[in-house]
Amino acid sequence: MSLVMQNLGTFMVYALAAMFVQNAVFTRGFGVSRLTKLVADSAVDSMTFCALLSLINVLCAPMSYFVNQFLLQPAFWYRNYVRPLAFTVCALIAFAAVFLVIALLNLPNKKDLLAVLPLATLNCAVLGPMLITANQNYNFAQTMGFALGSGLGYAFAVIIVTEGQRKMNSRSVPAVFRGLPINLIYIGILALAIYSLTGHRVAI
Amino acid sequence: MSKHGRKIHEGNALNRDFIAMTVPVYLMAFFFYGPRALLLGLVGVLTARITDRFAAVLRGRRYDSTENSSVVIALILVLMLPATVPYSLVVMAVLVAVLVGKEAFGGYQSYPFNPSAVGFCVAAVSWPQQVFRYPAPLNWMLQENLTFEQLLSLWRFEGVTLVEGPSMTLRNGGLPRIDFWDLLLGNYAGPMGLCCSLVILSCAVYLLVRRRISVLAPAGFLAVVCLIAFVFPRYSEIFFATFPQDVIQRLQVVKFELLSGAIIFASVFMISEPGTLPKNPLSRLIYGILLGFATMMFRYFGTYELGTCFAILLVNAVSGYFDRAIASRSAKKKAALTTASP
Amino acid sequence: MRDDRIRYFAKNMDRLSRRDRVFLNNPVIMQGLGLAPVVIPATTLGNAFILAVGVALLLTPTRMIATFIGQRTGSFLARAVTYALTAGVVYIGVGYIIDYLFGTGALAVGIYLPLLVLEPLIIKRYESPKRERLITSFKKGVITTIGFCLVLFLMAGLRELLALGTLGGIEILRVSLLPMASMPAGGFILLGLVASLWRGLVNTFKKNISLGVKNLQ
Repeated sequence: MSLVMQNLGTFMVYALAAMFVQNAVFTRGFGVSRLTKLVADSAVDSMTFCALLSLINVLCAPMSYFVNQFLLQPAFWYRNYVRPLAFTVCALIAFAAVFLVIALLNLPNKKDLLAVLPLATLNCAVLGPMLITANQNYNFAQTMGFALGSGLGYAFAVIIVTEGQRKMNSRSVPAVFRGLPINLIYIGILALAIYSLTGHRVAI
Repeated sequence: MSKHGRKIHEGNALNRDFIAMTVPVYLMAFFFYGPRALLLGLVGVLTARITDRFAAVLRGRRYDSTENSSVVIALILVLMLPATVPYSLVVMAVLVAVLVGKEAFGGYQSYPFNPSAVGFCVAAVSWPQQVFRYPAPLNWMLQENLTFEQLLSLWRFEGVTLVEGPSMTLRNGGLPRIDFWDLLLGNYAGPMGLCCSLVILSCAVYLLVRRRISVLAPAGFLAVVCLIAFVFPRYSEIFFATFPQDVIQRLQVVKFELLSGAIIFASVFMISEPGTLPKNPLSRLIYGILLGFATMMFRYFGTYELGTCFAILLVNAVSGYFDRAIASRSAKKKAALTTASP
Repeated sequence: MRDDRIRYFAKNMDRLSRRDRVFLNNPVIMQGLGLAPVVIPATTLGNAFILAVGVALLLTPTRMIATFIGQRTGSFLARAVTYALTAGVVYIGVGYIIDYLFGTGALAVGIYLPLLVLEPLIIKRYESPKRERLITSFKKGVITTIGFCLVLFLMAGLRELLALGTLGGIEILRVSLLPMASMPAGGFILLGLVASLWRGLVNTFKKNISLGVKNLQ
């Protein structure tokens, strides 16, 4: 029982850490390219995107954990080279699972979901957490916590930047700053605030 | 229009009040830390003015000298630094505050983040050794047979021992040993403008009378700070089990949490900054409460002892949401009322 | 500017502002691709060099191979899968070469090298249904690489100079002007400033061309 509680505690701590202290966007810049596009056009519902991304992240985490354990055997001296490919395959398996579920469930907004799904899967914010958990040799609870936290942290970043977008659209931002530059500065200032929680440069 | 026929910027009067109210604080800083405090402020203001001019050139606009919000930004920013920081640090911090914090977002009142907070955070993460270590106050008066240069320490601070402030003691789970009146007047090692709480509060009275600052946001902010400090004190000798007996000690902790650090200063000079404050009264209160919570989180779990500025940046990012949420709710109510009454 | 050049630019401005991947339509500044490597690990020219080699080896081959296979598939999903898997496969070779060239030095860019596999800069092409010839994909791959590396080196040099006062490890300034430049926050803010300046230059260039055309007439 205490073991379960202990692992649950680890899970929570790593999820919170990944969400705020090591936020995927503000400290590591995962998926910023996608984020700046996401907040700029309202065609894609950003919350749907984030939900799918978190789901894919959580589904990928156990797979990537076992794949990484497998690759850690001494026979695989080339493990660092095949890791991205292996993790991409993990992401694609998760993708296929989610795809099937959405297709079978017959949800009302099925078409939109399926259109966004590839963008949410083939994303640095999915591959990045997997690479970090593999590099830092996280155990299973830590990996799961980190994956969930990364997904939620990405959503947190999207919400906060969308909010800023709203503020800046209605106001007098100079022409050359409009769009990408002002978004980058906005993210940068938030990264500054988050940095005081982290307190050091995160391991990359 | 003034009598010279030149148009005066809309924010001029408001900013003039803020500038006037930083003067007493600067005088206290002068009293405690010598003329260097004033010089630092002057350098900050000059940098802000030059940066404004430069930004006007970049944007291809005419420079409006009555738009003095950058002066306020610089004056407030410099007050949060210790009197021993090098001039280059002040120049860099003010430059970033005005150029990135204000002008990049479109200038007067269109910035989403408090520019002074941006400048301070940049200085803090860049040079934590200089920003979070303070000289002892009144040192410059007490030394015997000073040379002119030593007296002023104008160009550089050398040979002065720097110490950590009371916020650091609180962080380490201790209680600072500072007399109550010293604490109120600011007679302890700290940033040059943040310690003299009594003077800052009297400035607040003037600003309140002139209706320059709001009551709700600072009230929510201070209440939450006190509440968190009382319920979860950082003092290592207080535990949950000891609750009813240790009220006095808990109140001690609240006193230090409230009066040290930038709590009072921020609630007077930074929270009510008109560009970033929500418009609706209720959202102002929520803004203050959230800010208080975030500040305490940054103080408890953050790296730096002055978490207030970092918290302000984070809460500024979401402050627009409250206004929208409340506006849409009241719009719905109105709609419901009009449909209900034929 | 000479008259015939003005005429040339004026005539082809639309096409150029789509295709010129170095200045007018830079992948980083204009399209916002490949931000993560520029903003986080590119803190010194040395790091930038490792990343540049990685991108140069990964981008063009991936694009060519995926174009070659993708011609036969066609649907959006299939294209997405093709591009991602191709990048993964190509990375096996790239990782080996980088290890051979830089050894443990490549640790300085950490996971940002393998992360390139799903970087939009490399695989963004899958979103477009338009087919392209193999030679076109080669040309575009090379020119995108050049455009990316230009910004990468510019930013890395700027950040190294501001944060450490050095360039490529050689001391230029005695003091560190802004240590924040080497942090993620500094990377974001500096890239924002550089992007705005760049866009300002592009606007001025376009304005000059249209003014020049008016003067010619």
